Amino acid sequence: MSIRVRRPATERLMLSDGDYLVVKQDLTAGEYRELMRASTRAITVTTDAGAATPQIELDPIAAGVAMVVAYLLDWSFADADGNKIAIADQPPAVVRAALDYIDGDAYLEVQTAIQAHQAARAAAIAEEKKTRSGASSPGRTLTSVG
Amino acid sequence: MLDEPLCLWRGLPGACGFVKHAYFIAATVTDYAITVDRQTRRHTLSGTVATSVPYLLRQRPLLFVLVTKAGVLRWPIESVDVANNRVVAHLGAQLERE
Repeated sequence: MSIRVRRPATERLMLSDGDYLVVKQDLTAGEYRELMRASTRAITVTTDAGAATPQIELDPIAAGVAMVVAYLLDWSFADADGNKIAIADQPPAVVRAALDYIDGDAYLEVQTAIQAHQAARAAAIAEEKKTRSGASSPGRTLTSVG
Repeated sequence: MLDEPLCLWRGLPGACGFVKHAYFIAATVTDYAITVDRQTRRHTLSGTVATSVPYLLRQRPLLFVLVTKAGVLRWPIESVDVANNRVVAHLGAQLERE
């Protein structure tokens, strides 16, 4: 029996000017499905025969925001008055509104940092799997002679 | 007196709080009340469960979280019982406000 649930863990990602993000270390299967759902849009494709077929396609703009919202838990960003912009424990709509409110450059820095975090975690998990499969060779059953 | 929590989750009307396991929402609680036993000084949460994830409710530790305009209030949950869409939980001392 192997453990298939990770303990919820967070990581702090450092940004420029001493700012930081607090993000989920990994997403669960449900969060990943929600990320996929929020990253796509429904389209209708008309075939040569004139038949309309509903399909889905990746929405690159929505995908970026969806990934940020999926991972982001807190940050150090402040508003123009120097007050911290509260996003911890806030619903996704509030986090999205805050992401719309910050400067474009700041948003890009957030998205880039979270993309890098996601890539780093994917690499770390792949390495973990390699180590696990290398370390645990299937047990052998020894039979007695005679 | 607590500030009115900002309850925007899932479009639920009125005040609500959250039972959380780490950053996961195990339950959304509406019409909540926190009472204090004068003798034991024990805080008890009671309320209506609007949404819940049974798997997460079985995890420990759990926190009761209120998001208010003045900040986020958190209490550790020492024991919790959910039945018939009602939650009753014994709370530990309130954690420092962020």
